Amino acid sequence: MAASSKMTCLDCGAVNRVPNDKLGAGPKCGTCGTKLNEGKVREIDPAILAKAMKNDDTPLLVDFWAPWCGPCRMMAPAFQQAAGALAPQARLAKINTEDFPKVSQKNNIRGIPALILYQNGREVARQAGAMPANAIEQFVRTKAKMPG
Amino acid sequence: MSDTRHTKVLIIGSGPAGYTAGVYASRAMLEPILVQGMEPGGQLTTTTDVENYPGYTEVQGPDLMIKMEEHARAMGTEIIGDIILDLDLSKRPFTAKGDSGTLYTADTVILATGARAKWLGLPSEEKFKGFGVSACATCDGFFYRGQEIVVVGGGNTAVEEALFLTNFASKVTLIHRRDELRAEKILINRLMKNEKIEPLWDHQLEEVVGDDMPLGVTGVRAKHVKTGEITEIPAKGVFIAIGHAPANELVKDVLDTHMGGYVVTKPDSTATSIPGVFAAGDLTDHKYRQAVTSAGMGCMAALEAEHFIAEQDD
Repeated sequence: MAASSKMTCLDCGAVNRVPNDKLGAGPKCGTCGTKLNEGKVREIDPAILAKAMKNDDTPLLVDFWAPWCGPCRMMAPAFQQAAGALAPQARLAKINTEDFPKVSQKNNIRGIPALILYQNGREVARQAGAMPANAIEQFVRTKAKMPG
Repeated sequence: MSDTRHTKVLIIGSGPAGYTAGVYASRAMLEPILVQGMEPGGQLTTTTDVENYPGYTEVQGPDLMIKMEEHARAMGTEIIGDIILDLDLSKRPFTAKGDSGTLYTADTVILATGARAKWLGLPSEEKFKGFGVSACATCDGFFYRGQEIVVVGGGNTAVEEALFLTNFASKVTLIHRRDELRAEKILINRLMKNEKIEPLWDHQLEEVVGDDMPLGVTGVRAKHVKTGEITEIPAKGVFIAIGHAPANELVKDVLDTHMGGYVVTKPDSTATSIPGVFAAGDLTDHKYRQAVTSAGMGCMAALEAEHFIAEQDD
């Protein structure tokens, strides 16, 4: 069993390895110093997503959303709440599909909000449509292998 | 782990009825708790322009709901992102079990769970939900730029969605099981003038067809309701707009309902068949179903709850 978890810095894209017993100690990126998991939802771009998808064994749940999508906007507080509840074991991020239309094609997204859970270089699970905080949390806990 | 919360007024639902009930109950110093449910903000969050809410010549549905939520919160409503899974109205205080594990107890309950879009119930429809099958044109239309789309339905929602989708799609086929539409005349006129829309009358959706890898819709099979003849239509997106049904799951076995599940209230009142339980908005309104009528009923429910509590205290 790996006693550490790989996680890509969602700010600079550097891959970090964090001992599992230090996940809750506010680990920072060795390259840029940004906190790796503050329990907050990070807005990311496709380049960061590609790196995190490929490298991370820490579960990453990505909300594909757009500003015109009412259910997406209404789900935002619940998604943030779930990010707090799942830290430090999993991370939550979002991608604006209006700004990055190609990312939707690449990930076969035809409806939003779409939540995709990535771990160990692959898509582990997907949920179409908005969910409340508790359901988001349970979705990650049941579908991903939680570190630590 | 389970936590118990008591309130004088428990509001279930977060559309115009729920938030308006929150505003009024808060101002009556009843310290209401509002549990938002599965779709915070309700049906207006899946619309675009709202042109008939007084005070707004034009407002986006989601923006209107954010303002209503802020209003209720500012007046003192405690708004909780939880889902009520089970409601016991057999004795007072009423009890409601939340998905979070919280048990809510309440002297009065205002049911404002609204209505939700109906689905056809086909296995192929379920299979492709999120992968080409949608009930929200404003959310998902963007993903069908330059592609062919099918809309199923014949009422206002179907026509509005078909018109909206022409902003993106190369062609929209509107499948309707009758040979005329039930929509408002102004909408039908717009539809008939739109060259991108082709109605397919007297047909119903038989099956959504698509690929498995990657999962995605490629078309539909529609059946003529009289001859049984099958027409295949290529499409990347299928939008279901066959109407709405009241979200009555919590109460359908304990409260009187009619007209396909709408909760019955007393004349000129939001009182249900159980004293202390009130119903407002699309859960009970089979006739008007407007944001403004729902808001009005939310107000009535809060005032009636206040009156009910005052009577109990006497």
